[in-house]
Amino acid sequence: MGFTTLSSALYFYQNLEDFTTRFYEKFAANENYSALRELFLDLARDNIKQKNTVLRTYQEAITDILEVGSSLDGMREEDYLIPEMPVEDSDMKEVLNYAITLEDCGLRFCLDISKKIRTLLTDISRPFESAGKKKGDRKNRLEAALRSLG
Amino acid sequence: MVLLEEPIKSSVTLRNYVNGEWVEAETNVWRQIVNPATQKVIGRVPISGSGDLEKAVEAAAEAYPEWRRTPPLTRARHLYRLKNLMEEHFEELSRVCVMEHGKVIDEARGETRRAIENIEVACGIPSLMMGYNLEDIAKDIDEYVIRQPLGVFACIAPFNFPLMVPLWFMPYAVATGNTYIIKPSPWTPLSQTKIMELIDEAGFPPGVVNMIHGDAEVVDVILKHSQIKGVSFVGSTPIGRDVIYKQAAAHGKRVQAQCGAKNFIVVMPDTVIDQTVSSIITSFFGSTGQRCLSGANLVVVGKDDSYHQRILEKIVDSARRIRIGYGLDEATQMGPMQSEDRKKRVVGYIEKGIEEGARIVEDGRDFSVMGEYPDNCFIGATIFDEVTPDMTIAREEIFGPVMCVIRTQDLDEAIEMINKSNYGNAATIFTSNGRIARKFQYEVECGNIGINIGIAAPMAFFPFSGMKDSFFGDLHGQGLEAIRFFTESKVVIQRWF
Repeated sequence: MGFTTLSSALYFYQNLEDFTTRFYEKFAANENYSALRELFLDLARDNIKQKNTVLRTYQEAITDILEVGSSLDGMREEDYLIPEMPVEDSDMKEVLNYAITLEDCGLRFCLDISKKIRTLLTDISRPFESAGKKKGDRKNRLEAALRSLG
Repeated sequence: MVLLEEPIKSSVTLRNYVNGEWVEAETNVWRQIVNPATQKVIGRVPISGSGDLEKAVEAAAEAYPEWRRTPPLTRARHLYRLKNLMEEHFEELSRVCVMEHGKVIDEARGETRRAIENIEVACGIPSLMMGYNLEDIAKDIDEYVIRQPLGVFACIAPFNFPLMVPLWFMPYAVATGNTYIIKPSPWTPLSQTKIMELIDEAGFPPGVVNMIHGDAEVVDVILKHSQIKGVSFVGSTPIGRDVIYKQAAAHGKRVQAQCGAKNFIVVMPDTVIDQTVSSIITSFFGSTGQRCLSGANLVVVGKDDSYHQRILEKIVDSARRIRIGYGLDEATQMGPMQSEDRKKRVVGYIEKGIEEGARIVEDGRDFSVMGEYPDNCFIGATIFDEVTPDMTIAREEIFGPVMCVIRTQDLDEAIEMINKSNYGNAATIFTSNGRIARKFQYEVECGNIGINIGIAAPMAFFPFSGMKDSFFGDLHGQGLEAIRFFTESKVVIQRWF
């Protein structure tokens, strides 16, 4: 289903960030993944920060004169669907690969929406762009961690 | 489909807010507040009588001398606190607005934002209220102007922006040292009640801001009361012109009456079509057409039939795709009309348009609603083509999602048509040509001009303008004009021996 309003896109983003935070916190708390603990806790903290920045900017820049979602034409929820969270006894590589998929999904969503609303809502576009770039950095950190496992 | 949680769980009974306290109205007359999307009763509002208003005036008048003496920066600090509380309750305020009005959540959040912006601007009162001076206007004589508050002011608010409109005025009134009474619309009184809860929490001294729920009886007393120095009104032209302006002026009050509209959106052949269409759709159908800046008449300029056809097809296609539903469903793009009567009125105009010979290309009476909601107040977007300026639908304010497409041969004809209208609230031109845009801005007799902007809504630091039958008074709401409205200029000429 397509995003028909900015509100629906924001709601999706908020859920995505909340889900990602829950994932990192859950696996950071599990002794089996203690090697990833610091990295995952850091990413979870950063998630909350990014979400708050985007939502605060949205609240400060929202206008009652939105162009009825037309700027989001072509963006569909199903293009950013995330697979089910791995079970807790998954191996570390599987968990890291899942984290990379999550970050990639968030990255694509943030950069896509940023591009779509750039003309109409520049103030809200900017934090999305920044969140997208940060997700790229986070993905690199996760890929480096994966490589280090050999 | 994601339905946001409703902040009002069960029907609430409203009270007035007088002298820093919540008080029962002395009345037996109540009106139900109905959520226009769900048709559920979400509250009941008292229709207060003159005695209730008298108490509010008394409290405001009593609070005035002390409040006036309060330093402007201290007065501003109360507004800062209110702003912070509104930020904290941003989502709740917006959702309450959806529940009583029907608009979609993003529109309501935008309304809350614009309300807060007015508080932010009024917080600059130590600078905004400064007078001016000149030394040596004669030998050893100096002259200066100081701005002083006048006393008690009142606002009579409309149903369509229940949260924002009173805040076009109130922050400036109290920042300048006046005290205030708000009478919300009895159709949509919940948003202002929420604001008043925050005013209470912000710690304004008792009597500085008061709220009386009511209808014509309360309005009548406001207009005639000797202790009320000025009135701000937003609503229809017949009431604004024939009741508010006349009565308030006859009783020696300042008055600013922002009234009805019939806004023209002019599309030139050189416009960027896709962006223009998107903006047009919002202008005509945003807030279900229930705003005084909404587009009403779409004037397509030029002799090229195929261009006219192309732009019309794009508009119709976009209008058909608008998702109608409950404003708290985040997928909804257009909510219901605020009441059944308002819907009936729009349907009446659609029938009138057909009867007078306009060609209906999209009929809003045929619509589907997302979700299981009663269709009492819902209506779809309507588009009429082949409308002529003399038709009723082209002349009268419909206040609903109805677009009347009119063709003109050139820009001069379009400007002449706009200037012949009784209304002068807003007009917009879509063009890529600066010379044409300047001519439009220069010649059109309207208070708010949009150039490639579908809804020409002034920011809080600019006046919300209006001309002809769209405004009665001298000084508009918002910004510096509001500061002037709420203050008297006192000139001092001084010499020391």
